[in-house]
Amino acid sequence: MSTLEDCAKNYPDDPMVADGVALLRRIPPKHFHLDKNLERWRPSSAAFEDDEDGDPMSVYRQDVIESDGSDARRVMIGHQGYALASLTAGQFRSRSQTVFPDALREESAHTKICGPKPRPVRRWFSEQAVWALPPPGN
Amino acid sequence: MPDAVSLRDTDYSLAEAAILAQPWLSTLTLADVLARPAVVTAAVEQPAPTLRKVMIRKRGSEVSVEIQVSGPMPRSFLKSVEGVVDLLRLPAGWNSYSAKPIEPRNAIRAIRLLAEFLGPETPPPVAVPTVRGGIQLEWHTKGVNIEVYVDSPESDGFFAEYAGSGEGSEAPVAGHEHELRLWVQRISGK
Repeated sequence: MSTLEDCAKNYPDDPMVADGVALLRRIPPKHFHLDKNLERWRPSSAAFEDDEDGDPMSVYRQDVIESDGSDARRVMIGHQGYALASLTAGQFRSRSQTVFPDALREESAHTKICGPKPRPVRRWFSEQAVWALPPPGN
Repeated sequence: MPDAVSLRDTDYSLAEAAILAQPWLSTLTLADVLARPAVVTAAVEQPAPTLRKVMIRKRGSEVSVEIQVSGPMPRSFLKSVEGVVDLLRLPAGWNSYSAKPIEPRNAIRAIRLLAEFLGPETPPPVAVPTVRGGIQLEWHTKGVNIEVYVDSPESDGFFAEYAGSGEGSEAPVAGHEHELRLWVQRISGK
């Protein structure tokens, strides 16, 4: 699990990413399901874990995608059946996460969300997330 | 001669699963489910003179599960087991990032929990894989949210709440079986 100290050192928060910026997380088919209480499809809390190799969770900045003249569908290429969830930078920061732009050659909008993600925090992310691209067929 | 019921045929050969009838209520501790890497067997006993066995056999991409119990087994339980077994087919990187495949021993633990806590009227949970090879069983119904999670056979727990209440209960399964059973009962029944 990422500690606050590790994140501040290796993945420091970038204040240039405004709190209102939408950050998009790809959700695989096994990580969304129908919530009969909410009467809508929702991502599982399991979709908001750091990578198995210890790397912080990856997201994509919607403002960067749009400034390229593109849209959110570009991060879904090659990922049929996936959905795309959205939380704001401010929502992540409110749960002690850093927002660290980490542009890749293949995806300039790539960003890391670093910070401890115990189950209550993951559940909160899953409850707060809205769909940028809902599960296929919904 | 016990009744035998085959699960629906799937591409992971679940048709091999044979369900033998009789009470399926609880299982006992599983000592070392990884004693044999290719064939994982959990043999448990209950007070009645019956043997209950959960076996997950994995040959390459082929996975099958056999469950032998001594009583009628609710369809919801069979469906739940299918959901767990289905996760064993996920390859490394199944989430498009770097997720691990689901560990068979975690699937066995999840199946044991299902056998222990699901009642005949309990709806099947959604079986959710985790990036570290674990499994979550989730219910979001009847005004209740329940997550039962298996990070490893030695590390499991549950979270339960009334939806929208903002207050939940989280605990390891061990020592809190009664509490978990009460939560599951709240979502059970017509």
